[in-house]
Amino acid sequence: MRSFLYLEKLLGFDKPNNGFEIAEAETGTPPLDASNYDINTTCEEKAPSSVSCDISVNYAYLYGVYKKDINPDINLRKLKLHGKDDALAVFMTGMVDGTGVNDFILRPAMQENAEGTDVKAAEESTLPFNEAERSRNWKEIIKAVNEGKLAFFINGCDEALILDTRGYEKRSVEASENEKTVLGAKEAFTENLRTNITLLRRILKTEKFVCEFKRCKAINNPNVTIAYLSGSANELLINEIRRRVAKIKTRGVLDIGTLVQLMGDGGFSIFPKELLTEKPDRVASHLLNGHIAVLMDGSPIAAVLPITLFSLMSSAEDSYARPLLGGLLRFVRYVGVTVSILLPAYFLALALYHQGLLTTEVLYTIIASRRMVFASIGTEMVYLLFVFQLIREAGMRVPGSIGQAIGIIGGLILGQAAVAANLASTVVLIIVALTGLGNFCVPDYSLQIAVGYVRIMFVIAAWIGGLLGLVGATVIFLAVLSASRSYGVPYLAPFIPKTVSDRPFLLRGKISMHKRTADYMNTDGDKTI
Amino acid sequence: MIKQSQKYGVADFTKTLLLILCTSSIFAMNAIRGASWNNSSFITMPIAFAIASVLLTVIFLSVTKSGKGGLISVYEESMGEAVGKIMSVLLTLVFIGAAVLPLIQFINVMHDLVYNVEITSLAALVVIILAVLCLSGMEGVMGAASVAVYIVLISILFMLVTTSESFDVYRLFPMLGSYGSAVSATFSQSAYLLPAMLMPLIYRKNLQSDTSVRRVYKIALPVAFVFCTAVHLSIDMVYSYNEFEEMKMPMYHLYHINLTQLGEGFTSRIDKLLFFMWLGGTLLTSALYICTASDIFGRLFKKMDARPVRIVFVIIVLCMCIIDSVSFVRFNELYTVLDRIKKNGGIILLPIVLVPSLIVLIKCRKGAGKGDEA
Repeated sequence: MRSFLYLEKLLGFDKPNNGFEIAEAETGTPPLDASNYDINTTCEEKAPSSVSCDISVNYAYLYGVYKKDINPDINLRKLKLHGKDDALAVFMTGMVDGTGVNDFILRPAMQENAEGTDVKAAEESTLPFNEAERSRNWKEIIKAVNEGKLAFFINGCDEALILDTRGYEKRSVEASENEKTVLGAKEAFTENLRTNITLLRRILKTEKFVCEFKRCKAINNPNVTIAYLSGSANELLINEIRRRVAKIKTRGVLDIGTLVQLMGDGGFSIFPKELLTEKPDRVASHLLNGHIAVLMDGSPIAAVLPITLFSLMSSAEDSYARPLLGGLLRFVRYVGVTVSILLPAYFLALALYHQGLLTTEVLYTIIASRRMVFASIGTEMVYLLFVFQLIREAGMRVPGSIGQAIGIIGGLILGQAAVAANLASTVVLIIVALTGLGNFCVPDYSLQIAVGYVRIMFVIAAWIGGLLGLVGATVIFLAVLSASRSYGVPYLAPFIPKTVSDRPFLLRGKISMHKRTADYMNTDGDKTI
Repeated sequence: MIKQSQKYGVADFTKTLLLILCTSSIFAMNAIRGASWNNSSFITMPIAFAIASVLLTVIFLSVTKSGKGGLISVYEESMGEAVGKIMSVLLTLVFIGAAVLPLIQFINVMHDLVYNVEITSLAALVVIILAVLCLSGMEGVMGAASVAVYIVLISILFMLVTTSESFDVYRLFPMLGSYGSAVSATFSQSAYLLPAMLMPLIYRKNLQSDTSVRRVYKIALPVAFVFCTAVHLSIDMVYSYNEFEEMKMPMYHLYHINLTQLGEGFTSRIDKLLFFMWLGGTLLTSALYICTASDIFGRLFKKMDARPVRIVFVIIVLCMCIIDSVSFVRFNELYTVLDRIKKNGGIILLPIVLVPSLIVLIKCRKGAGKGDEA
């Protein structure tokens, strides 16, 4: 009993997971860059309770908050409303549509013969903008200005009018660079959240398509959208995602990749727990199946969750081709991945420990090709797998057509040179090349990288224990995958655990079979059409 | 529908039980075959299956009639909390013993036929694999078992089909030989099958209902029975009983010799590959037994986290495998005892599981009788 307690303490099974904390307190510590910016000063601490009726007080407050003397981007435009009352237009240069501000705000506001000198009148008759709202809260007003909206203050009114004047430069909708398909739509998301939601709404023309806007507690105040089909998505899951987004508190969230890590599923698992995609049709397909998508302003990628391994292995094209073709495409993909993971390790196990399993001709070929190679076969295998990863990364980072050339040149010349220099043998080179081809069959980028790491672990296991090590690694891999979950859904669903599925998960069935949401989503009543 | 954690589906548990039964009745039995019980395993194994099923029915009835959560709760109700806990500890030891048996078989065969290394080195590698498997939890191991069962069963079918040319009925004779040893072999073999059959009853709460438990048995038991009988019949039709004494794994030898006779080619070289596939199934079986033992032990001490216990049990299992495989001269008497336990020790299990069940059934009957009288 005591030994169990001791073991429990030793391995830390009795304590909750304590995160690492920096010893010194953050409050009161000057920042290293010695700028005037005080990270602990927030608007809430210095802000008056609400907008003042005195416009000069509002002007002074905004001047201080935005540090107008050193920050020329902010524009505090004073004017006379209809020639009578003082007014103030606050906006961020570059974020607003300048022409719109001039023509639809400043010009009508400066007309001398018009009536109405309060905010309500300005909203209803003076300033013709499609999105307008009133607010007394400084936090809301400053957030709106930071986003590119315009805040309009009138002397004597204790509220501001916020107009959506956003008109910053943004990228147009283009074809996807990283998820190329032959069949189906080619559009990809952009960095603008509104555009991305529009792309989804064009596909999902239903009132059930809900986009909830949330904010994370970060200095850059990112806009996050939780998108789902009401009635198809699991309510518990929606609440859980809302809770996780609300729980985020960090310095900055710049991309969806950071956001999903902060949302906290996955820990140190190398397998992705969400599908990151830049294709609106792929997101829409998953939303129809009961999944939930998370989008973020500034990121051209959407995160679909929860996700299973079989969803990561399928691409949009599978559904657009006929059943048999789609099924064959998937079959080839699975064979490719299996070969990619098992082939190097299997070859190493046979060559090192179980030569009797190889035919005489294969043995002669291996011996002949490796006669002058000085490294052991295990070292050679690991080294070539590593070089393959290097070539892949280098090809991705180098821009344009040079990137493709690097891949070809790296593969051909490096490989040939390595054989000529007796650094590698032709047999092992072919094995690694086949492995690489199988790796690229995986549609998802994160899963590709994970498969690469798993392959190396298998090779090391086979290097240590031969087929025993390989079998052990395989059963461990299956057990770990079976025990993994993505936002509550088992990673190998619907195979493990077995759930009802109206469509085959390995191959593709007929499209007419797809009438229900996925059973593993546990949607209320498994919505059918 | 996805069930919550700690709730298992019928399909997954059926596949798991099928794998354990096949491993326990086919591969583990190879180790016991060397007791020269003559060529009667094709008779004794099916009868052992039948006996085990009858015992299981009695135990199942006691669990359902008692209305308790599972087998452990039946122990506590029938014999009081203290004695019930002692019986649970004994059951834990039984499952640990059940985990040891197939591993001994495979480690010895690996040492003799595949790897020319120390048994302790092999055991060290196996302990790492087992430990990681057990730490991944029952769900993880069951998931891996759901995949492995297909591979193991297909490989067994493949073996049966390719070796069919070597079958000769005359090798089945003499059929029973010594009746006494055949009878004791039958009961021992049924006792070895019983831990696997008890698993759905131990996890009855996780399977949620008696209907689910029944469905698991209805599918797993007949399929395992067919495979087990077919394999033992095929081995007995190829080898005569006096050859078994020198064999560590007749199934492997059967496949190896037959494929060698087929001549050069890929199929003549996959005997070792199949052996390692069976090894994968065995590792999972041992891991499942260890997980079950740790869950029973954890329930006794009301521990939610069974992982520390699993690590300890893995080390115990591996130590027992090493002790069995390596001759420690100082412990000769211990080896004699271990040999007896291996041959006849399964019979110890029968009173552990039968007595509480019979007590519960008698109590339920008396209660029903009093009700009738009233």
